[in-house]
Amino acid sequence: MEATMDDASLVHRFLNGDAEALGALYDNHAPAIFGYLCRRIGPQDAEDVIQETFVQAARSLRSYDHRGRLRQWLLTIARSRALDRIRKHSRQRERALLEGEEEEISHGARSPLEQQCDRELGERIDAAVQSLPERQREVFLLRQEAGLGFKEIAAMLDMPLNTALSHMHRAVKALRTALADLDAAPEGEIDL
Amino acid sequence: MNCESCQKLALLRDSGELSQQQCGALEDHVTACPACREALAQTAELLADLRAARPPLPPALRKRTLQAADTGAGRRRILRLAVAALATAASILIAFALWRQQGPTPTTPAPRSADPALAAVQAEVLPDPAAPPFATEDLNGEVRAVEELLAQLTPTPRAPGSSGPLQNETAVMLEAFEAFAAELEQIGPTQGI
Repeated sequence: MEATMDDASLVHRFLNGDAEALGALYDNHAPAIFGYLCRRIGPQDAEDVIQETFVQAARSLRSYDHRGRLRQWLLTIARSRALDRIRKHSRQRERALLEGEEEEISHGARSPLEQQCDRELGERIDAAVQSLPERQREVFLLRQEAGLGFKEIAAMLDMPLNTALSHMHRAVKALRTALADLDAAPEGEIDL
Repeated sequence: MNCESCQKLALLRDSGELSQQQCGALEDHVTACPACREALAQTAELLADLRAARPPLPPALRKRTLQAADTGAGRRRILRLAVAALATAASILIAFALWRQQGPTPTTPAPRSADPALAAVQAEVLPDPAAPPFATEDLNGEVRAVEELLAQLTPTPRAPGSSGPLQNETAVMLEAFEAFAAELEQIGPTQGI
């Protein structure tokens, strides 16, 4: 729940023409939102969506009503953009399958960040997270990566609090099983 | 409290959403249940490992993002200025059209001073009271040209029973301005990104 105290004054400063305030808001929230987006749509798309999210936020901050946390508001924008990309890639994949293409669609040039994320551990974690059912994955990532509270997650996903807790509980159990051998691996083999 | 409730309450405790009273009940259960103690320890370890493996935010992304946000804000500032300028221009045109329709307000000539020196200055700077009043017809040619130009730009049919050509031209100007302003407002949000 970090940074909440500063958000209101930063928003106020930004709306009064202080461009630096947006940088401070970025520093407060971008790392967590990026973590969520990376696991959700991959690092390359995550970079684009982070940029789109803050551009959209700068344009719409006047309409932010301060009722929820700013992080939650930013994540609403980011999730919407991420879902657009998921839908777009899904359509591209369908087209490629129809045309018999076998190349990877969403992977263009490999950035250093992607190379880093492609390391063995990142791939294993991503695979384990991706294997979770959709709602479990969403609750897990919003809590673990984006740092939202369960009441915020329940409100965002329009589900009862107890359901959100059940999804998280099951996701953690599944991940404990899928990644059980991480700690058992010989030292140096897996960089944790 | 059963073990599943304990695990869920522990999640709420970790997110800072558990009351002190519930925390006490949770602690009581964990103290008495070795299975829950073990499961909670494993969960805490897993989540800490996942946090440590979180992909870092690329440093260059900050500059890129803030520049993009600033460009969008600059474009909207220009748009707002353009709309304000258009609104001012339209107001002036409308005011002029209304003035043309009603004619100038008659003015009383300023009284001339008894002081000959001041009277000489007044004769220089004030209009001659004996001269005929300013005739708006003098501008009719120019006004007609503007009206014809506007009519060509926005060929709106005149409503039957309307009170006069200048009122129609005013309405046309207003409509054209409103349509243009709406179009500008639509362009802004979509070009922001």
